Amino acid sequence: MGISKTDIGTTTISIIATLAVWELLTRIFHIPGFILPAPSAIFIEAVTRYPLYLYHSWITFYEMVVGFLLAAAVGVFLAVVIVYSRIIRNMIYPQIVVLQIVPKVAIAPLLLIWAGYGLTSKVLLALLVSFFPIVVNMVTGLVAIEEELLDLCRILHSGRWQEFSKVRLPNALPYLFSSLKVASTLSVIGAVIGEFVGGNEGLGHLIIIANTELRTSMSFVSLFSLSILGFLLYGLVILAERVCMPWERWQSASG
Amino acid sequence: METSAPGEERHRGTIEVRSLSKVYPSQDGPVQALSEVSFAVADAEFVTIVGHSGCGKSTLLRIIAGLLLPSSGSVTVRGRGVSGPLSDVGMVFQRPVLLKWRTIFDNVMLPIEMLHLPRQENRERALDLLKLAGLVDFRHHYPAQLSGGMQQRAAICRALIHDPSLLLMDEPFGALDLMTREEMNFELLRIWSQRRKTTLLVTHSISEAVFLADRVIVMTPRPGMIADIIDVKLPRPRMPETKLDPRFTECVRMIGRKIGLLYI
Repeated sequence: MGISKTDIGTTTISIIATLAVWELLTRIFHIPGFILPAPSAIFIEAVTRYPLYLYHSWITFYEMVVGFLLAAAVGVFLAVVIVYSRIIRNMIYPQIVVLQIVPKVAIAPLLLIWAGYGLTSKVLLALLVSFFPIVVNMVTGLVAIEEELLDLCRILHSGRWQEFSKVRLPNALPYLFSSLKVASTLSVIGAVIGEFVGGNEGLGHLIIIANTELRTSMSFVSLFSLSILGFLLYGLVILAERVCMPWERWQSASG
Repeated sequence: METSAPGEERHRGTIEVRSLSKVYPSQDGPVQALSEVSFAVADAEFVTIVGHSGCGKSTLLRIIAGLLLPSSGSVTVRGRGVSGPLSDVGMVFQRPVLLKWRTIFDNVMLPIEMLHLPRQENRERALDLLKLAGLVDFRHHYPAQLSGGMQQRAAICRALIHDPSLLLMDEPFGALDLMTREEMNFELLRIWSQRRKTTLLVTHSISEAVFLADRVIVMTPRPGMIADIIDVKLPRPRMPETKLDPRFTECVRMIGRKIGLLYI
């Protein structure tokens, strides 16, 4: 998928147009700032108080990145264990699914009791929200091996370790990365839920304050900051994917 | 890899299959895939197995490779009974099944790594094989950058890199288009004439079976049995003109009759 200059041009123009229409509407209809602030007002808020937003963005980014990395580690580990041990699969897979079905927002207050109001509870929540797709995709990737390849491994007396390291693990990488992309966006949600429920730092906390004080432009700056953080982590995952799977760009090129 | 005592040297590359049967359990009762199959393959001989799909050709090949156990009967390779996967075998499947994350060269080297053979001396072997298969300029490419025929040639190199005494091929050109397939037949014979491996190749194309082989094993389906074993008395090297030789057409016609293609 190549991105041309026209593509970038179209996207930029549409964003500018949306902002312009938004600005015009708030001015024409005299919409009060606490209901819908104009883009210019939001911009002024961001520029004048940027140290505040930078600080809280850093907190939230820290929570989501640590939670995301832990989710990746836990997810990959669980997947390997599930694939290789029938007993453990029977023991933990159903419980993982049940845990996934329980709404994480509902677990958040409990986590505050267990892990306190600090960063740990937010990191744990980000981890909880984002690890499930990683487990499921990783399991699929480790198992989806052509039968002939497994035959080849047997003929070559590869043993379990070589079969894992030379065939199953690299085969699972595309599955892993597509789940990491999903997980990276989920981890933002986890961190913000944690900040909503309790604590006094992070963009989620800023949004709560902004709401109680009806400072809607502050809400908007926090929202934009959140999406920038999500984008950033997503971009980092894509970067890692390119580095780890240099062969992948040839896959779509040939039939 | 198995090492053979000097006295066993005359068995090198020899396959002996004795009254082999294979029964698969299924929901509608047991299915007899192979029944009383017996034959022998001499050293450096090229034997093809031809028959309808479902005549147990692939099952037979998998049993010889030690990937599947027979229900009764026995297989010996170089005088030793086969009871588990044989590393002395090079195997080529219908699909190339190359590792898409490895370059062509690293794919060819896979058996060396897995069998813990010395890497340095086998690098040269790998390059020689790739040269032989016309792939040496593509050794740093990924499989997805190569055509299906080229990928299958790389798979043949991978099957030969650890110098096995047997080459087993399960419909290796079945997934290729007809023109590539003919080209691959020549390529295979060219490689085979350089590395004289005892070769057993399964196909459902009669003309391919005759063109490649010293002998053709003709199988009938359900249960898979040997209908006949036919000596192909065509000179080597085989050329495109070989297919115009009356002996070639006669052989193809005869096998067609055995298999039950009455219109030939």
